[in-house]
Amino acid sequence: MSPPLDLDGLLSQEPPRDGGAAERVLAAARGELALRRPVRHWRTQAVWLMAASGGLALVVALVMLAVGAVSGATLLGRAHLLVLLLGTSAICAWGALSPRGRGLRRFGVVLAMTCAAVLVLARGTPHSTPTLPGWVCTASHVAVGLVPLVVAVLALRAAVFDPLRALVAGLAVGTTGAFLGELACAQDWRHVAGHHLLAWSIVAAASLVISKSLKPRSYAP
Amino acid sequence: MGSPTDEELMERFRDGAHDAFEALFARHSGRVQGFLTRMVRSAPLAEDLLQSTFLSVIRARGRYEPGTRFLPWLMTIAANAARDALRHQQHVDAYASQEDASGPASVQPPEGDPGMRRQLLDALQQLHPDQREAVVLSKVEGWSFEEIAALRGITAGAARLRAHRGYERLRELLAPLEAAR
Repeated sequence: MSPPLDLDGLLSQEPPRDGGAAERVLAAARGELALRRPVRHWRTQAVWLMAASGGLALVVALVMLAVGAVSGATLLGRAHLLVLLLGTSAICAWGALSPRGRGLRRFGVVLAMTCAAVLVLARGTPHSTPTLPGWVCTASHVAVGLVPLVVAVLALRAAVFDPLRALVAGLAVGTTGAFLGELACAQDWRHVAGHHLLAWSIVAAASLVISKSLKPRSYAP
Repeated sequence: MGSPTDEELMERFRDGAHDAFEALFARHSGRVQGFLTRMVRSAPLAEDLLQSTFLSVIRARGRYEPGTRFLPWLMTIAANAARDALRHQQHVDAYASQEDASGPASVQPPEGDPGMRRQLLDALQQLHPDQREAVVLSKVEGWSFEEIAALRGITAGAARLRAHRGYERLRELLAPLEAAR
């Protein structure tokens, strides 16, 4: 009777190696190095995403304040919500681009959901009837997130596709529109739940779908 | 003075020393190539993936965190590249199977050791990619189940189960070889 098959031994046998393949790959790697592309650190990319999302939101607030579209009293009255949105944006952006931020990404999702619930619950009864249809809010929130979305998608391509990473980046981007909604819209909680949060979801879904459809520049974690 | 560690070389590479990359390539390209050949079987595809892996190291050197062990980081990149290729291949195979309904070739008796190794590589391809990855990483690369779990975002128990099921399936697939010896 023959001895049993040594599966471990068989598995550890080296497959036949093509030395020419290593040479060709090294030549391709040297070609890539010769391009002298700048090293992109993930922290720098995270700061760029924070600046694109939170920074754009702050610029919008300043412009609205400057042109009188929003009063200082309104800004102060909603400061706690605005700070919550900026914090959510920063945490989601950092978590999305961090190589080891799996816990932070989960926390970012929970924080974004909490933030969304607070935005709905904190909305009071409007004192005037709306002059614009609800979809205008949805469309403008999505539109204001386009630039941060491009930044997020470009940054995400530096790593292997991870659905949670792409979703959290989308949530970071979506805070820009939500921020705008807190400044420019005075409608009731139903409108916030139905139109503002819909826009946030659309942006998050767009980040997920676009990232999945693009070939990553690297397979690094 | 001893030779620099992988981690020291990677940090030097991050700081712009291209010779450090060449040293890392010389040290690890063979191992990565072996892993990829086991994962995808096809030599041309394994070469493509070897290239994707080392181009990823170059392009994503800004994502390498000082203090991270280099070899698991490198093998994670290779595993991600293989997984992406296998996912793509599954789509192609699903399309091809609509035209050709015949199943995968069964394992044939060996013709000496090289034949046996070939049969093993064929049998590995019949495992689910998750199981194949777990078997190769645990049995060949010596990864712990905790490390495999961290790679795929699953529990260590789930990683152990994947490896165990893959290994048992491999034994089943290679049973005809044993009978023919």
